[in-house]
This record gives sequence, structure tokens and C-alpha cells, in this order.
Amino acid sequence: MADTFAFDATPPRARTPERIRPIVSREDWLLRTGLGVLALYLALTIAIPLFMLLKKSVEDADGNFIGFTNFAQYFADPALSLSFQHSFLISILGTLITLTLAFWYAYAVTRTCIPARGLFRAIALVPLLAPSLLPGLALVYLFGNQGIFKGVLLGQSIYGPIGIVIGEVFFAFPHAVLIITTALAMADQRLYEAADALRAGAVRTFFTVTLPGCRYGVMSAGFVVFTLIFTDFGVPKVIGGSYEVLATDIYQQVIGQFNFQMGAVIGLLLLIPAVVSFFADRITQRRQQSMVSARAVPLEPKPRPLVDRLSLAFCLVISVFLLGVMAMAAFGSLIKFWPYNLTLTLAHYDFGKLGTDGWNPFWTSIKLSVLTALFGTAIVFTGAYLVEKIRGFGMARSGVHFLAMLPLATPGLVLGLSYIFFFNSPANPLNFLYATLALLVVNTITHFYTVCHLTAVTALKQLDAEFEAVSASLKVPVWRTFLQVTVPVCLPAILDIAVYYFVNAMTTVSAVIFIYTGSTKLMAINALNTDDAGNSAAACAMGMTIVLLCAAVRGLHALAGGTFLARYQAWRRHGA
Amino acid sequence: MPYLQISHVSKSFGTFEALKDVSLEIEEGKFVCFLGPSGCGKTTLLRAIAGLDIQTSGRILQGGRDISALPSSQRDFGIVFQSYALFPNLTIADNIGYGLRNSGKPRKEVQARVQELAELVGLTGHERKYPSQLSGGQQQRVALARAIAMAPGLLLLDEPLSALDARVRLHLRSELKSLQRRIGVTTIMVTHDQAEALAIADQLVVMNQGVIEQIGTPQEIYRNPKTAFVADFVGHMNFLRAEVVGEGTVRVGPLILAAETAGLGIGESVTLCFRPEDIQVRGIAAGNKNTIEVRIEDMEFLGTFYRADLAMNGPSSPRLMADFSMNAARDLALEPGKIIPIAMPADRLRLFGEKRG
Repeated sequence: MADTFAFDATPPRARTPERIRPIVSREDWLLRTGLGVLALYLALTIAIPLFMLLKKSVEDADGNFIGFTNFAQYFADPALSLSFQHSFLISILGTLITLTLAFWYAYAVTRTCIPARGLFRAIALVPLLAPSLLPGLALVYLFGNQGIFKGVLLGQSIYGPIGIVIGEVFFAFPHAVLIITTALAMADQRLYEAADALRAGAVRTFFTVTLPGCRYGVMSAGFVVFTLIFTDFGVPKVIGGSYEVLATDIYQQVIGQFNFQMGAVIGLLLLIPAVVSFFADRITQRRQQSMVSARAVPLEPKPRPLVDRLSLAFCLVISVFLLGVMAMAAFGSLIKFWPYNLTLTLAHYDFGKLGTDGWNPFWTSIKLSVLTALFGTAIVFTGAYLVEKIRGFGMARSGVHFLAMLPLATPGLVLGLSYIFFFNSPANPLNFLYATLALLVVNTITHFYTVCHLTAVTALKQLDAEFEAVSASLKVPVWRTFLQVTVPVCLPAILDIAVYYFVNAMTTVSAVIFIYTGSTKLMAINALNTDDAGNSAAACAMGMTIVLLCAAVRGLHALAGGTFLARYQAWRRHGA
Repeated sequence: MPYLQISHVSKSFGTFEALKDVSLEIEEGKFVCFLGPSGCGKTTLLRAIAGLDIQTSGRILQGGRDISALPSSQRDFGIVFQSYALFPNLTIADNIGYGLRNSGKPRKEVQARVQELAELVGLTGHERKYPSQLSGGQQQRVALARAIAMAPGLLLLDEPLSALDARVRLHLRSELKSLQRRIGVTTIMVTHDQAEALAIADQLVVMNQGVIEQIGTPQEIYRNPKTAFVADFVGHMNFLRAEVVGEGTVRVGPLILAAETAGLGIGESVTLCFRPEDIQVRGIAAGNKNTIEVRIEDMEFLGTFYRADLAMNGPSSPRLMADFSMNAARDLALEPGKIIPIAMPADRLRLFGEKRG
């Protein structure tokens, strides 16, 4: 054939064609092995421990299967089931208050023309720097038996539901503000222009445009806040008094009475709202995404004197409350002997003179936070890379992705308890990890895995999908491109993850309370114990030390964003 | 021997067959375009050649070597994607030299080669900039320089021009063509833009629904489309329903026209095709073959010519598209409402049997 092309040069074949079996390159094997290792790691650190918890809840003390007897026993005990009602009541009340306040606050900082909106946003996040027991301590100083504003409570005691609700609102507020702010920030100016053109009034526009536009965000915030309050341990422990909730119950059953089976039952009850909100949140988020199109015109708020003034007053009140609680804790830590000797002193910060632990918990906390930030970030980012970049292998990848989502639905107390069951079992070859700092690191990495994983996945999805294909065509091994391109380009997300891990490792109490030992006592736990022993000033000092360390790390991070990235990542300045 | 031999390649994604028994041979040094609408399988075929999504069955030989099952990293090609996939954190020089540096060549040698490549694509002086500082057209050249840096045997281009605006696209496509001539690399470009494909390719491969409809030079494809799909997709075309009524004669409604009917049986239903620019309006004597009277319904001004909408006769009769040059329109005072004679030369009429189209 003279033609350079030969279409139909070969006769069509009759039999079924032979399937091509792609040859797997060495680097593909490496990636797949990596994914397998990650799957095994997640199975050992989240899936199997949770399974052990489930198993424990249907066994008696000797390990025999007894069905739902434990559950029946739990609900038959009036004292125990009362704390379930308490938890429920506190969570509903706390969620309603938090949502109302957070919605107005978020609305004020996104949709009104009040001054210093950036500052107000920052103030709303201040509680994130503190362990949840700190607002409890501050509330005792403010409204306790010897509190400054004791009279405000009209004879009611702060020790109990009132204190718990106020403390939880403080603790959950930034989470709700973050979510609702994001939902309110995604608004389309054109919808408001259309409402205006159709002569809808301000109130009508609010109920027909603003609220529907962010309702999924508000729902999502509601689920998150409910779960946070339902499973929080620090606030009720410090200020709950004799008002028992599930979180304090589980602690007493396990640590006080060594009743592991009942602990497992309460653990499962704690898991319920978390699991429900996890799935509800998945559904609402999916809807939210489709609400605003890519071509939306960002909303520019217009001055409205009345709304603006009211909003400013509201933000000021809330800010005073948030900063006031922090300031009270700081003040409490600097006072010689409340309320009798108000001279200022730094003596409570001299942890060396305090009990037998001295400075050990301080250094243990720093070690834990640094190790968690280092290893957690490395594991999460590499893991997210494997899940995102391996071609084919769909089942394995979605399996790993599911395992990575599990920690979000697992409250810290439940995770900690499952770790006892799994790692403390003499039959487990990993038993040697028990009572080591390494296990605390592993536990903390797992506890906060999901948010970090999603941050990494989001960053990786923004990269061009063909970097790996280009590298392969240029014969550059995949790990070189990972180190030379993927990691530098994702550096801001990587730093975010590291800081998130550091701060949470510093402030967390719930997961580690079950698995620390004398040699691995953390500062937040030490603060809790110190308060239990009646030294609330020293407890405040420990809490404030955590706040200062977290603030310092956040400050460094902000600075790094400004100078380091500008100097060493010049390409970012030019935008894409 | 052809440089690239593709035989009986099929690719399915689940139950969807993206490629159905595709066979193709490409000679060394040619510039080939895979042309077709979106979803026709052209990108799937390109990705199979690159080893990015390996075919379900069928063989691919490059330079006599069976690469059917090899991973991308063991094949010999350079590639430019629609998004360019430039590394945003590396300078232009580092992007172009990305493969060279990792191949362990001495620094000096890499630098010299990068210089040479930057010059080749006209980017001298931009080496120390970052991709985001360049225009779309310049980014495209960086991607091209990076793709040819390792002197690959095969250059693959996946819609490389479609992210650019019209003027830059026209300019770059002629540059792309001359660059390919100079370095002589066998090149495959995927595109859905038929004008681009006609202008740039030595050979066109027109694809539709996972099969190759036709292979040929741009001229062959344009003049002699083998199927109604190709006729429709490449250039503009009038389609009329017709019936073969005798050797060399077809009937369109009441009209009898002369056309080449080889291979078609008498009484067979066919589709009659001809291009708008093949309709003649000048020098038509009454009684000429294939001459009819039409009414100009509308004329659209397209810059260098008019595209006219013609009604044959009666309100429900088929409409025709015809291109009239500015000269003809002026000389014959063509305007909407006017009734004029037109001729459809028999050698420009093509017939497709029902089963083919």
C-alpha cells in the first residue's frame, strides 16, 4: 500500500481479544505498598480498637458473650441513666445557645459594616487555644462560692448545669462561628439585587435569601456543637459538681471502679450522636456545595445604621465575655491566694515546687505536641497523597479514605477507652507500646486525623492532576516529584496541619486521660488533677501556660506565612 | 516499517466502550491529528499510547518494540497537556530541565541544553521567571520545551491550544508546525477543532464513538469524506435525502440530479451531500445540468464571504447553505428575497447509502 496509513490493514479478528495485563512499575509497587502500610496503620490505630470496644460492651467481666445485658443493666440503674438525660439536656441547651450567639456573631463579621471585623473574627477563635477545663476554672473564679459576680446567679450554684452550659458555650463557640462564617461568606450579590428589584423588605430578604443560603452551614454547626458538648470531659469535670454527665460517668466507671464493660457501654452511647452527626454532616455538606455557583458575585455588605450598631454592640459583649473568661483565668493564675490575698505573683507558674511531677508534665506536653505535629503531618500528608494519586486500586483507596474519616465520628473518650482495650490486652503483640509516650502520640495523631486528612486532600486536589504523568514521561521517579513539587506547593496546607496537631495535642484531655501513666502525664491532665486537689490557682497557671504556648505557635505560623513563604517561595507572590 | 503500530486496541471503562477495535499505523516524522467530538475516544487513544490508561486489549508497537503493557515511565514520549501541568514552584529553566537534571547529566550540559530549548521555543530571557509570570501562550511553549527536552521518539499533544484565545492560537499553531518540521519528531495531537486539524496535520484520523471513521491527508478528508459523519464534522455540508433512480441519476423530491452512483443500487435511499462553497452562481446558462432556481431567504455576513440560506421551492422544501464570495454578491446584486439560478456540479455531489451514514 502506497498510503503511509493503513486503515483496516489487518483483518478483524473473530475470537475474543487477549486482555492486556499492564506491567506494574517499581514505583507503582512502592506506592501500593505504601497504601497497604497506611491501611494497616489505620486498622491498628482506629478500626480494631473500636471493634474491641464494641466487643467489650457485649461481654461480661470474664469475657463471655452476654448480648445486650450490659445495656439493660445500664438503663436499669437510675443513677446511670440519669446522667444520660443530663448529657442530653446540657447538649440541647448548649447547642441552641451557641448557635444563636454564633449565628449573630458570624453574621456581624461577614454581612454588616461594623469596624474591626478581622479583629472580632480573631477574638472568636481565642477559646481554641485553651483546654476545655480552663473556662470551667475561670467560671469558678467569676461565679463560684467566692466569685466576683456570685450575686448575678440569684442564689443558684455555678457548680452544675448552669456552669456546664456556660463553659460549653465558651468552648464550642469558635467551632460554630468558623462553620457559619464560611457558610455566610459564600453569598451571591445577585440574589440580593434580585430581591431588592422585586421589592422584598429587609426581613423578607433575610428569611427568603440569607437563611436558606446558609441553612446547611447552620445545621452542620449544630451537629458539630452538639457532639462537642455531648462528649466533652473538661468542663463538667471542673465545674459539674455532683451533676453527673456521660463523660464524667465513663471516667468514674473505668478509672474509679475498673468496670470496663460499663465503660464500653457508655462509650457506645457517646458514639451515637457523633455517628449520627457525622452522616448528617456528610449529607448537608454535599448539598451546601451545590448552592453557590462558580460565577457568583461576592457580596459586599452595605451600611445599615441600626443593624450595624446593634451588631457592633453584640460583638463587643461577646468579645468581652470571651476575653473576660480568659483574663479571669490569667488573673486567677497570678493571684497569691484568692480571694484573701490579691497580691500578684508568678509563684503558681513555678511548677518545680508543685508536687512530685514538677516540670515533667510541661516537657511531656511539649514533646507530645512536637512529635505529634512532626509524625502526624508526615503520615497524614503522605497518606492523603497515596489515596489521591494512586491510579486504579479504587477499592483499596476508598477503604483507606473511609478509615481516615472514622476518627471524626469517634469522641476522644471513646478512642482513649478503645486504646485501653486494644493495647493493654496482654495478647496483643503491640502491648509493649502501652504506657509509653509513643502510644500517646499515636493516639493523638489518630484523634485529629480526619480534619488533617481532609485539609491535605483539599490541597492535593488543587494540584494539576498530570504532574505525575509528566514526571513519568520525563523518567523522573515519583518520589522526586513528590519532594520537589508536591510538598513545596502544598507547604501552606502542611504547616496548617502541623499547627493544628500541635495546638490540639497541647489542649486535648479526653482521649489521653485513659492512657497516660505517671511518667507520661501531660500538662492539661496535670491541671485537671491539680484542680481536683484544690489548687485552682496552679491549675489556672498550667492552663494559661498551654494558652501561651499555643498562641506562640499560632503567632509563629502567621509570621512564617508572611516572611518565610515570601522569601523562599517567591513564585507564590505572583499568584496563579 | 511504520514507527507506531496500533492494532485492534479496545478500551472499556466498566460497561462503556471508549475504544472499539482501533487499528492505525503512523510513519516516522509525521504530524498526525486525532480529530473528533468530545467523547469520541481520541484522548483515550492518546492516553493508551502514553501508557497513562492502558488499553483493555490490543497491541501497540513503537519503533518495533511492543509497549502494550509497559508503564509510562518505561515508554519513550514527551507530552503536553491542555493544562500544561507546569510545576508552579520551579523556574522556567528548572521546568524545562526537569527531566535532564534528574537523569544525572552534568550541570553544565543541562544548562546548555535548557538554553538551547528556550531559544528554540522563543523564550530566551524568561528562564528565571516562574510559570505564573508568563502568558498562556508562553506557558504553552514552556510545556512544549519540557516535553521535547529529553529528545523523545514521540511527541503527544492533548488539546494543547484550546486553553488559549483565538489570536494566540492561530499564531502558535503555525509555530508548532514549523517546530515539528525542524526537529522531525513524530507527533500526535488531539483536537476537537477541525480548522486547527486541517491546518496543522500531515495526516488526520477522524474518530467518532470509539471507532476511526477515516484516515487521510487534510485534503482527502475534506474533498472525499468517506462517511456522512466525516462530511458533517469536517467543514460545512448540505444534506439532502435522495433516491437513486438510475445509473448516475438521483431524485431529490421532484428534482432529478446527476451524481456519481457507483456502488449503489437503483431504488436505494441515500443522503446527498455537498459543501456550501461548491454551489455555483456565476455563468449559469439555462438548461445546464443540475441547475435549479432558489430564493435567497437570508444572507449572513461572515467577513470574507456571505453564507446564504436558500429555499429550493415551496415553503416546506429543504433549505440549502451556500457561500457566496463578496465579488459574486456584489456583481450579481444578491440580496434576500431575490430568486436566482444555482448549479450543483455533479462531481462535487457525494452520496452516502443509508447503512453507512
